[in-house]
Amino acid sequence: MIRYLQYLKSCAGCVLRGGRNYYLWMGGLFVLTFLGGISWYHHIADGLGITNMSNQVSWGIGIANFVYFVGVAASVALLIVPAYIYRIEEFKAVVVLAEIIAVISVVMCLSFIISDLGRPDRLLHLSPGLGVINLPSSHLAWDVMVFSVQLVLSLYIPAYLLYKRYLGQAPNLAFVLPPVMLSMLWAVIIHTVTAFLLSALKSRDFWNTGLLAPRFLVSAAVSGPAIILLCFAAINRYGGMRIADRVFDYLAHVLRVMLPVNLFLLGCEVFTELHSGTAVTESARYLFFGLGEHTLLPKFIWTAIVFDVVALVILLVPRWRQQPRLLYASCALLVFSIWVEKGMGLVLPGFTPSPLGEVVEYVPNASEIVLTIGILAAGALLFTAAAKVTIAVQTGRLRLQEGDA
Amino acid sequence: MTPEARLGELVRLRLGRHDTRRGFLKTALAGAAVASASTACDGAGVEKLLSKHYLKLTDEDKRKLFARIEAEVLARSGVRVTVGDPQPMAGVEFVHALDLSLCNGNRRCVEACARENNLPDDIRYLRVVEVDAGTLELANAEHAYDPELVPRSGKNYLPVQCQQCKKPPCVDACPVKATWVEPDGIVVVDYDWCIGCRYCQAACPYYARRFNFREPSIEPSRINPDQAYLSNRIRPAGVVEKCTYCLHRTRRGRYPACLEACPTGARKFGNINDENSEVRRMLERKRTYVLKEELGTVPRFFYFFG
Amino acid sequence: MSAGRLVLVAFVAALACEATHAPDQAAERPFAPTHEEILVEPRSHLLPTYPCTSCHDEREAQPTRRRLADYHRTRYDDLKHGDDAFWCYQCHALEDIDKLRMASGQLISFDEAWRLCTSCHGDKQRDFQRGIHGLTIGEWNGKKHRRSCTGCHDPHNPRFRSMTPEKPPAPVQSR
Repeated sequence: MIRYLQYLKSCAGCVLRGGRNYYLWMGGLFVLTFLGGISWYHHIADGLGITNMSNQVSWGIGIANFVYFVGVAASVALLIVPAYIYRIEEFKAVVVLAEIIAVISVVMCLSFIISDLGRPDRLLHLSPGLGVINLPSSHLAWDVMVFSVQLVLSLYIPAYLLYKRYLGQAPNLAFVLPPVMLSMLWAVIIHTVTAFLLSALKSRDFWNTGLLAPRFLVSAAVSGPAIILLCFAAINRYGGMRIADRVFDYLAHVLRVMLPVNLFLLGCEVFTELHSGTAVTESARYLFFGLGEHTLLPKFIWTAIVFDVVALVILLVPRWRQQPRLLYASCALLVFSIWVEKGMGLVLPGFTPSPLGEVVEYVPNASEIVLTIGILAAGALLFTAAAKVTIAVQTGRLRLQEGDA
Repeated sequence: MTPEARLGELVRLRLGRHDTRRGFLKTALAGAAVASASTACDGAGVEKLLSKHYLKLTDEDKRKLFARIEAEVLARSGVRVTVGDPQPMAGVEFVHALDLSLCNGNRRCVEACARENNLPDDIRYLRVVEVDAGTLELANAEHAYDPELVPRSGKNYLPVQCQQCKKPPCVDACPVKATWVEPDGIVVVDYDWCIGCRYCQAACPYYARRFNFREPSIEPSRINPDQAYLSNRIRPAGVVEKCTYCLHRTRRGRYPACLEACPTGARKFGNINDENSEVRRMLERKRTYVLKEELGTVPRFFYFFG
Repeated sequence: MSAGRLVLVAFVAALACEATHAPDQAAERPFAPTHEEILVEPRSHLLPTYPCTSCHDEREAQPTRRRLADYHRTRYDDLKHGDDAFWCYQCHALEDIDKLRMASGQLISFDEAWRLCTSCHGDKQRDFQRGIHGLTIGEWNGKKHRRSCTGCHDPHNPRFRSMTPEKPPAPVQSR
């Protein structure tokens, strides 16, 4: 116990110490998080009336971000496969970092959801014992359940591995492998349950498609590796730890395979929706071409598609993808394009037009954008701190000293 | 098949009384009774802090809670209101019917509903949509029509409100069971239990649910003092609400407010289990239309062509 | 509708009686309200020119169809009921201008105007009796107040008048 407190103390010390640039970076993120916190306070104190959501478009950027980061959290499983199924050592070194990205994504997901509740004060109504959980009917209740498990899993795995490393002991595989394997399965589960949360709604033709869950998985296999690749590149550059080229090659390879699949599935959806031309495909028409004077979303979705194609070309041409700058640029394009495609471009058309055919166009307002940036900044802040500790432990700079115990 | 048999089947199919949900509700009520008996000795302070689900409230809980709500409204607006809790009547299942050939889009129902149910300006349970003659397609419906006079030529009108579905997607969606089907078929919301996630709004195919984006403000002179816990009491901010067939009126034998306000007499309401009710006779004699029947929600709301 | 403005009279018996008179009703379930009491609103006291005898006592009735120039000119111009076949005395009783005259020759009061209307509009009569047509307010399982035909329709021009609609839904505002 004392040894563990000692460990936490040295972790805190590690987080609090750094160079000038580190303080600037963390300070900047802290300011953004603080601003987000103020916006969140107004969400609670003044009610969701300060947002641009309406009865017609009752979910907005918060749920879009939630859906997006579910994908990021789940895609970490893609790194566990080479590490623990193929047992490639270079990957084991990054599993902890990947799981940290997962746990922070889950925390961000929860923040996006809780800040989107009309009554966050009644969150306890969702808890077993004190509350009433509508199982098995409610897909949202299922989502809460699987997310709780995901949170525990993705907290436990890196925490255990890191502490063992700190102690200088080899991890007991009996304590690692089962949760690691489970977290691989869970990546699919949280994704599928979240997709079903939307696709099960017969009221919303745009979501009510069997293709939604596969598209969720595939788009996550694009946005996730892209974000992980960028994070790892940042660690290589600033973090004082060398992540093997093999890891980058692998992530780029995943992108090269999954991005065309993602585009293919998108194309299948577009063809079916737009070719049939029935009234239930109004939402798809809104997304791709706009309805009447409401044409904001098409601008975003076509930008995203262009980004997808540009990134794909970069990834397919060997001479280009081997240039780190171009590879990183293509990842950045994909981070944005999947955010549009799977976030806003998925959530908003579900509400537009409304079930009674009313077209209300939603654009997030300043308070919602500030809150989003705040949560993103908090995620980046947490990641930087956690990655710093992880790197220190992994590289042996943070290690239990003989005299400490 | 004789007309009687066909009607029997229709009524059984859509409004039959063999309902698993009701069975569930009974179980839940029994469970609630046990649970509430076991929590009856809780301290009052704890009760205030952790509000209870409606189905877990004892009579004593209700008495205190309703008195508290009445006192809060009095303090805030100076209006003395009574919060009641009329219970479903045995053997009653409510059905609403609307004669589309009579509706002329005048929206009297919309405003009468708003006054009856203490709705702020930005919330209306009822939406009358204007469609082109020759179609009931909602995709091109006009919601904000505002001519000098209605009906406009070449247009038809379709009022939509909560359809009190027998298989309501909203009830399935709610993660905390804050909304459920009552034995008389009315889908209610416990405004003190709803967490405001709005998943039910996404799940409703009829755009029937409204969210209180802000604290509802109603002029004291417009507050209807005859209130019920599960229907028209003034809602808190951040929760979802909807049409309850005016249960504070209808469970006491009266007609819903929208029906009485309709100048063309297009609305009919009553107990589908009663052979002599207007709605039952309507089902026997008229061609009916159910909104989005293909979704299998089994509405307790019929449109007909008189 | 305030109860004070309208004096409501029970017509349960009359309604039930009328149902048995309709020839195509034989196969149908007889109209027999059991737990309900239906009141059709009387209307004569609402009519601005009633009683008609306040003028018509002095004049001799002229049963021939002609253009009305003076007092009833607007009535004549607006008469849009039954095409050209209709004239005042299709409905108004020549022998007692304060009464209405059924096809059978029976004179009835203005309060029972619905009986006269439904003698032609049989389909509406059936729906009216069942509560499917017309405005019924009050209690769904008890006392019902039913608006008479002429309470909603102008008998001289029965097509529904256009109305000014209530305000449209509040627009969604960006903040």
